[in-house]
Formats: sequence, structure tokens, C-alpha cells
Amino acid sequence: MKDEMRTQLFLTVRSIVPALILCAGCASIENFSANPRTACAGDAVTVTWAAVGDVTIGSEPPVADIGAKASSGSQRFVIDRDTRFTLKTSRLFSCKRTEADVVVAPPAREFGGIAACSAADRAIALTVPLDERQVSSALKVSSVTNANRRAIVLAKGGRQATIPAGGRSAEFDREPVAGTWTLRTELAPSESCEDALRSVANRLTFRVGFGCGE
Amino acid sequence: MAALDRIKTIVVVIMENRSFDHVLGYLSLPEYGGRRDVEGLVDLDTDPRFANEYDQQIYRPFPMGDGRLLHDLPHGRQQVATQLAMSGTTPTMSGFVKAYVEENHSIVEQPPPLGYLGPDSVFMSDFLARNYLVCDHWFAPLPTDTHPNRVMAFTGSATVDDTQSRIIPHRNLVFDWLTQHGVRWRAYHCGFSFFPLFGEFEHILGGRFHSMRQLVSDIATDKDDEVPQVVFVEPEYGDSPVHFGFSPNDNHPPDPIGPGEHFLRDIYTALSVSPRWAQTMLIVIHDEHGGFFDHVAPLPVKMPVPAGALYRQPFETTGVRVPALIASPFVRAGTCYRGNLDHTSLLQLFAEKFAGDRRAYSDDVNRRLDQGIGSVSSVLAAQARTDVPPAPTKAVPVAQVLQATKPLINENQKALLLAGQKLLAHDRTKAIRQFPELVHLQS
Repeated sequence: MKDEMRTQLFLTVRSIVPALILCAGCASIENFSANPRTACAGDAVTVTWAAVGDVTIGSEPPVADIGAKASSGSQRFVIDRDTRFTLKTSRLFSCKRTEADVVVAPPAREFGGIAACSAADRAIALTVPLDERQVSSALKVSSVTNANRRAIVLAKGGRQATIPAGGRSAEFDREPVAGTWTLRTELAPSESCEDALRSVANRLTFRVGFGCGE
Repeated sequence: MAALDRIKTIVVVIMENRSFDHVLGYLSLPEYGGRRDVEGLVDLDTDPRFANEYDQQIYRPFPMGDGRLLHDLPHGRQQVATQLAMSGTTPTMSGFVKAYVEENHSIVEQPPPLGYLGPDSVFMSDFLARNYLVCDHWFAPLPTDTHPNRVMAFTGSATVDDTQSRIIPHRNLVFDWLTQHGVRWRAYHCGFSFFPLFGEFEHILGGRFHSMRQLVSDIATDKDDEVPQVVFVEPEYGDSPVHFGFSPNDNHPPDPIGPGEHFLRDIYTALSVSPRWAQTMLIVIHDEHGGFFDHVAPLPVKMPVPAGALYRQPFETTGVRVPALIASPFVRAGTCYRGNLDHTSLLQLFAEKFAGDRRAYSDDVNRRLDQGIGSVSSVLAAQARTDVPPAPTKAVPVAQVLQATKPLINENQKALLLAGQKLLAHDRTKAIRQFPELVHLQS
């Protein structure tokens, strides 16, 4: 019995000690981002990171001033095309890696999310704030498309457009993409919130065509 | 005689961590035949059900090639809740990218959870889907990770809601039920098995566990009264603490799916060339979705917290849909079964087949039956086919998965290590004969 207990103790210790050592020697990533995720050529992108271990910030294609960095920090990098930033962190027993993409002036993006329905207002609505996390301040609207299967009223700033399902509007052309957009679709006279939400799978979205500069 | 009566051997293979849309969703796409009978991927650019949101931006499913991923995908209970993204009581299935970013701090243009594979990557699943039967409403029983879902498959209930390093408390283990009902059963394993995690080592060392390498010879040499009526075939788990002679082929990310497809081909080939194929049913499922996107909401199947459970919050829904394929002379070629199934449908099948009553397994299983979960027997056709489609022979490139021994990182790896150590402590000689690679745990 003593032998059995000794064996069990040995096995337990042997399984715990390496884990403790490993925990003390493992790399980890607490945070990593590159914003805005949609930019214009020549924009400065802010890369922010926090990790445990020896940190290297990389990019593909390479940009100026990447390389070994402090374990946490934030730095701006100028890009002129689609760029994938990488964070690698290594420590005694492990290394970790993660990635963040920034895309330069893609033809379009879809924005939106899970919408809420108000029985009192007889409408489904969603607010979509776009700021420097998502889009460069230099990005301009070239078109907007209603990506939903029912008509919406799309508004931003002082502008507003009613757009049929799948339809386009030029109302926001050349306006900055950044800002707060609101989407709203009215319930039909006898339609319940539940049915209305089901018709759009609880989502409201819109597509924005982009341009940079004038 | 009913089809179920004519089936003499039921073979169950449970792979790891892939969703239905990820593996078989392509079947509905026009470029792959556009099957309307399968609820897969359609109108990806416009259908709102496929829109996943992260930080106001919408991401949609995209075709991905097979290969090793940068990260495993999140699939614990909390992360699955993020993926389901409940709106009131409705799962919107819109939070898969968000869960991935929160876990891995990676936001890329094509987030891996939204990647779907094509038939070139899943050549064997594609073969089974086109020549046999797809179940497109087979759900993981619980919206959480590996251990609880495998425990559901093998007991009908779950005393754990997460994957931790521990021997899993349980009741109504399938091996006990089969033994009590006089059913001949056997388990085949590539390397180390999942079943030692139940702590019932006599089942494992009692002669019913065979190496996968014996599958073909057993099929060739078993006498009629030796042929197992239920067979479990286990892949080589990527999380196994030690590998010897097998590379991971369980489909668990970040490893690729190709090795698992070859594993399935080996199993199908071994079974289908035997004269006993005429009386065989092969069931291939995945334990849970592994963090990959699926657009169909889990079913509102409730499971109260069972006695002795190590968690307090009951489950309100099933987990996410998983790929499920059934090959047998008793299913029609290229068909799809739409009824609701989950892993406890296997236990209903055993009860129906071996006790004459699908309610004969346990109250836990019956509770799910009463909420609409059916038996696998529902898929069977009355008439048997006589054709036996040959397995694909074309060589399919498989991404490299060999890798240096790595430090134990996740709880499943630690759990399997613990189970191996306990098995060795229980009977070292028998344990090493059964699982030779366990020698390396002693060195």
C-alpha cells in the first residue's frame, strides 16, 4: 500500500511540476490589433500589443520600423497596400503568434450587426458606429447598397435615404465613411417583431463602396 | 424482416471538432452540384444567415484549403455562447468571428472559423455523402467542448460541462449497458484511447480493446459468433500525450483534416470488402463543431443538471450541427436525412436494436427523445442495396502533421496524460501491452 501511495505521489508530482515550470516559462498574448482595419494608401496604422515574452512585430509586406519591441506598446506604421501585421512572442518553453490584417481601399465592405425590434416604434433598427478602429478618416463613400431582404431607411449625419431591398443609393457619395450610421426598417401593418426579425435573420447590414481622396 | 433486424454490426466513429457547414456545407453550393435536399451553404454573399459580425464589420464564409491552422478555434461553453450570439431566446449564429478574435487576438480578412472545405479536401466524406447518406440535422448534444459531448455519446448524460484534467464521473456507460444486455462489443484505437478517461480500466484491459492495425485481420478471421455487434473505432487524437506509429488523424484543429479522411477510407475499405458488409452500418460523426461556423441554430433541447454534476447551470439547447454520415446497404445512395439527431441517438439505436425498445437505455436519453431527438434507425431504408461502391483510390495530398513533441498545453492533453498515468498505475503490464506508446510516459 505504501508503495502504491508512493507511486501515486510520484505520478502526481511528476505531472504537476512540469506544468508549473511550463506556466512560468510560457509565452502568451494578451492583446493585438491593427487599426483602422480598412485604410487608404499612405495612412498610418496603429498597431497595439500586449504579450508575455520576447516580442517581435512583423509585417507582410515589410514596413519601416518593425522588429523587436517591448512586451507591450503601441506604434504607428505607414502602409501603402494590404498589410498583415504579426506578433510573435517567445519564452523559455513556447512561442505564440497572431495576426491582424489591414486592407487598403477594398472595393466595398459590409457593415452591420444584430438588430433590435421595437413593437412600440413598429420598426427594427440598428446603429453602426464606424470610427478609427474600423475605417480610415480618409475613406469616402462611393456607393451604398441595402444588403437586406427588405427596404431600409439608412441615415448618417443629416443625410437619409430609403433604399429598396438589394438597391443602391448615391445619397452618401463622397461623404466620409466614418461616422454613425443608422438602419431602420418598418414593420408591415400586421407583422410581429418576431416575424420581422426572422425575415432578416435578426441582422441588418449595408454595403459601402469605398474611395480614397477626392 | 426490418432493416434494423438485418443489421448485425454497428460501427461508430466519432471524429473531432468540425461543423456541418465547414465539412459538408459545400454540397449545397451550385459549383458542387447544388443539392437542395441538404441544408448547407447557399447564397453566401446575400443570405443574412451567413453574416457574422465583429466590431460592426460583416464577415462571410469563404472557401479554404485543408492545412494546419495558426490556432485551435474556441469551443468551450462560454465561447460557444458567444458564437451562438443569442438575441432574446434566438441563437443568431453570428458570433463565430467575435469568439475567435477574443480568444486568439487575431483579426484577419478571412477568419478561419468561417472557412469551408471542398470535396478535394474531404474526399472521403464527399464519397460517403454521394454514395450513402448525410444527416444534416445531427447536433452535438451540448453547446460546449469535447469531454461533455463525448460523455453524452457514451452515457446519455453529462456530469461535466467542460474539458478538464480529471477522470470523468459518469453513470450508464455504454460498455456497461452493452455488456449487461449480452451484446458483443469491441473498440479499436489508433494510439491512446479516450475511454480511460472514464476510469473503468477493466473494460479497457479486458480484451475488447484492439489496435486499429487488427481491424482488417479481425474482420477476416472472426467467426460468426465472435463478430462484434457494436464497434467503436477511435482515431489518433492530436491531444494524445504520446504518439507512436500513428500521426493525429482525428480532425482536431489546428491539424488538417486530410489524415482523418484517409482514416475513414481505411475503415470503409476494411468493412466494405468483407461479405459481412451486407449486414453492417457505419456511422461517422464529429463530437462537436470545434469553433467552426454553422448557420443552423441549435435545437431547444433542455438538459437539467444531473445528480453529481460538476456544474450548476443547466443546458438549454443542443450544441452546433456536426457532420454525420451513414454508410450501409440499408441507406439509399446520395440521400439526406433531415430529422433531428444527436449523439444520444446512438444510444436509442442500441436500445432499439438490442433491447427491442428505443426507450430502454436510460431516462436521460428518453428525456431527449421526448424533446424530439430521434434514433439513428430512422435513416434506414426497408430494402437493402446490393451495390458496394469502391472507396476512392486516387491519392490525395495530405498536409504534413508530424511535429516535435510539444509541451502539454490544453486541458484535454493533460486529461489524457492523467488517464494514461492512472491506467499504468492500475496494471502497468496490461496497459503497456494494450497501448505500447505508454512506455514513453514512464521514461
